[in-house]
Amino acid sequence: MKKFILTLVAAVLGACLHVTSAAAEDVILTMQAGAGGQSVTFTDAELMALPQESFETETIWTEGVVAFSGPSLKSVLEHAGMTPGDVELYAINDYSVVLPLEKLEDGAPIIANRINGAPFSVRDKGPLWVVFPYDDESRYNTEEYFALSVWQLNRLNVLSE
Amino acid sequence: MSKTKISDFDTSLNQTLSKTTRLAPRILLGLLLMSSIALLISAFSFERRLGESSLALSDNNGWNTAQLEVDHQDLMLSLAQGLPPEGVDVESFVVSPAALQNIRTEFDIFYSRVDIFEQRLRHLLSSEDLMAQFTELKAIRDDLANRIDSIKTPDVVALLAFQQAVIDSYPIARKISLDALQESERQAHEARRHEYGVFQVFLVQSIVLVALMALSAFLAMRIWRDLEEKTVEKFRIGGLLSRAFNSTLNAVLVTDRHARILYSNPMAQQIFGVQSASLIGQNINNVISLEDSKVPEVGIAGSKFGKFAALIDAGPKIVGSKNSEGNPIFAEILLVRDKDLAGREVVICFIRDITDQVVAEEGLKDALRVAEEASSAKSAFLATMSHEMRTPLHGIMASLELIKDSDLDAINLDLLETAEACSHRALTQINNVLEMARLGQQYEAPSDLRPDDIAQDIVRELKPLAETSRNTLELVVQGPFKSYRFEGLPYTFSQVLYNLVDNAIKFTENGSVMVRLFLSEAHSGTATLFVEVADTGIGISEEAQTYIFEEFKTADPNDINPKSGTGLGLAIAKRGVDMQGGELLLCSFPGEGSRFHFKIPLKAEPAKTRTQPSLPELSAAQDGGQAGARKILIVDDSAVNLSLMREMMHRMGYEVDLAENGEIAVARVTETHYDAILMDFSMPVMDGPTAAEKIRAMQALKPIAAHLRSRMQSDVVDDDIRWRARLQNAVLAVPLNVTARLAEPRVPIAALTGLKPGRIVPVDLALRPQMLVEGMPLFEVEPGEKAGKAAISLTRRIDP
Repeated sequence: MKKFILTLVAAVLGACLHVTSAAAEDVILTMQAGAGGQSVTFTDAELMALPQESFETETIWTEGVVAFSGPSLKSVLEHAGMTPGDVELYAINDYSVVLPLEKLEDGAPIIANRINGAPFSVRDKGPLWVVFPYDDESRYNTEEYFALSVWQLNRLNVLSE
Repeated sequence: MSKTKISDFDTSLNQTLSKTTRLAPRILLGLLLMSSIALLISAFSFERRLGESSLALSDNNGWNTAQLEVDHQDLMLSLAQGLPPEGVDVESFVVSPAALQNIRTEFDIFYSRVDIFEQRLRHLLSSEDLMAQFTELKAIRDDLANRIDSIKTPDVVALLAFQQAVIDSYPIARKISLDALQESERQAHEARRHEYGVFQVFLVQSIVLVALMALSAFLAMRIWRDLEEKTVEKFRIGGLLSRAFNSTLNAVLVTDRHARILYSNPMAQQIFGVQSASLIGQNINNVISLEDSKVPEVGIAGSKFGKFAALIDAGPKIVGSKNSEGNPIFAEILLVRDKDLAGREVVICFIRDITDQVVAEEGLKDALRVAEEASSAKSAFLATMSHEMRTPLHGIMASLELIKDSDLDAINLDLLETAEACSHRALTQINNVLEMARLGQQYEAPSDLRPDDIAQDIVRELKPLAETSRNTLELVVQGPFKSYRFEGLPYTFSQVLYNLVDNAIKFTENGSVMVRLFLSEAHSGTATLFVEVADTGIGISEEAQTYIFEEFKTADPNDINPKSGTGLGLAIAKRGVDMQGGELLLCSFPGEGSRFHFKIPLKAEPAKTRTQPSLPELSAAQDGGQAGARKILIVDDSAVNLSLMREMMHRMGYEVDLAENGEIAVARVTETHYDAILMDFSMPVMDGPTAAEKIRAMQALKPIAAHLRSRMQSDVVDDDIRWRARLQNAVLAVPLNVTARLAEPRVPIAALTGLKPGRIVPVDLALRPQMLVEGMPLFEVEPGEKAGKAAISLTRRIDP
């Protein structure tokens, strides 16, 4: 009986956990306005609902020409109602870099959630990748922008002035 | 007004220029310096940027390569956290789902890292060894992926096996990571070295550029300074010219090519009496009028310059003009065509007001005319005086001659001879003074000249004088005298030679006087005559040679020897030679004699060959002349002359009638037949030529000889009288009072009267009074077409 209860509890807990984790899995991006400020989450579907940008480019991390698509970082911030500012980008492995406000342009960078039209996994530097159209403008083809190109993006922090 | 304007303009221009000249080099220099500094700064910033970028690249590479090991360790950590440590019962351990999820995530990160690492390795062009190792790692990763993907439940055993596999793969992951790091570092170093080289080249280039710029700045500065100096000099000269333009005594007008005045100087305004403003823009012809001047109008049709066109670049010309007020002015005008700074054609007119000068010159000319009139009046007075003095003198001399024939005692004869010598000297003196005056004033027109004949005459004339001093007088003539007709100054020539020979005889005793004439062959119409008169007389001292040719000078001023004469003889000779284009030279030593010589050019043309048909007839005439008494009419208004000539003719065996003027002579001729008429030239009531004309009309070819009172007077008579004088057969000169000639049986008068009609033998027209002393030379006249018209042409000299 005791064992059963334990099993039940575990099952309930597991079920709850499952629900929780299922809900958490759907969210692929968490945004926060400043340290401890309001946070907004996005699922892949929500990102897909935003205006999509796309371009083809080579990168130093991939082979051949690759087509990236996804909403622009700026549009995502606007959609979340965040006051634009310097943005601190975080990756799954806790890599972080600050994207200064002046580098936040209308069409670049984008938060790519599709490569060649298909979603991509963590193993393929997914599911979100901050990318710039490196081939379009030479200024993007520098170490500075390479450092800003965060793959496996999972959250970002909009820093207030 | 305009002066101020011009100088204002100069000053302002100078200021503008100096402002520009001072500012411009500074600006230029500043610009050059600024660009040099900019170049330096950019060079340094280039270096810094180059360094930074290469550093960032290498950091990124280092970080990326190191991250492989980090991600591997993160995976191992997540495994260690999620799985039971060693010694814990594996069976009872439960792996939580979160731990499992964490392990999976960490593996996925590691998985993606390997892919990224692969790209980095390719980018680095890593060594084959490293690539081989990496391929091995990739295989291990794929194996690990398969393992973890196959674990569906939290199976501790499987996970532990997975953990072991991960731990096993750590050394290779670490080794690859380190090797790649080293490779990256090596390549970064290589790249930096390359960049450093690039920078060095850039730096050198920059330094060279800076040096070049500094050099060009220096050069620009120098060039500008030179330019500034030149400009200053140019303005200085410009200023000088401007001052000269403003202060010159000439009016200066500058016009454009349409003759419109562009500039004028203050003098122009003064001369033309107008303001500068009213000159500008006017046509030059409105300012100076050339209407009355004799400038030919040769300007191009339609030229606005009008008469001025002929003056452009024609040198200075004096023109009569009018100023703006219409007053006549004389101006010397020089027009020069030039181009202004802009290259437009301008004409610069320099105008000098010479009105005062011209007026002064006119005054001088008037004064000269008055003086000349006075001078000629003096000459006329002198000529008249000479005649007036010589006529009584001739009377005295003729009377003395006639007295000499009467019986006189020795004392009276001596006194008479003294009186004769004195009057002779007085006559010579007067003749010489008059001769000097004549040489100084009158010009003998070139005419036929026979120098050999003249010399012969003179030698013959002076031979008696030479003999009285026991001298020999010889004439030597060399050269083709007979082959040419010469043109020269016969009177002057004979005067010179006579004076020289006379002089030589005077200063020689018991010696010889040699006259030599030498003629060269003519070249291009000119022959050279060399004349020499040498004596063996007392000679002339070196000191005296310096002044002997001066007027009124004799070799010894203290010598009152009557021989020394007036001291005019040599002066007359010298002037005579000068007039003939030669120079009288003297070579003399005291006690050894003197040699005078000169060379003169003569116009010569080949003489025509002539026959001499008259010679026998003349002889016949001469014979005939002595045959019997003839009747002769003497016409003269001078009672003295009349009585003297009557006496002479009478003694010569002529029957003589007298007439006081031409009218009486004509009356006499109608009544009586005369064999010859001696007629004075100018007389009251009717003059000689008129009378001769009338007589000619009545009785053809009657020999009529005009006797002119003196050579002097013959020069004074005008051409008309000369012409009319030729109606007479001959011209004799008074005095006719020399006994030596009168005593001769072959007197020319006799020859004259004995001539056949149509063979007129006149006396030498150019005869000097002195030559009558020796005898009257005769000339053959060429008969023919001109004889009847009384144009006598003398051809050949016939010696008496």
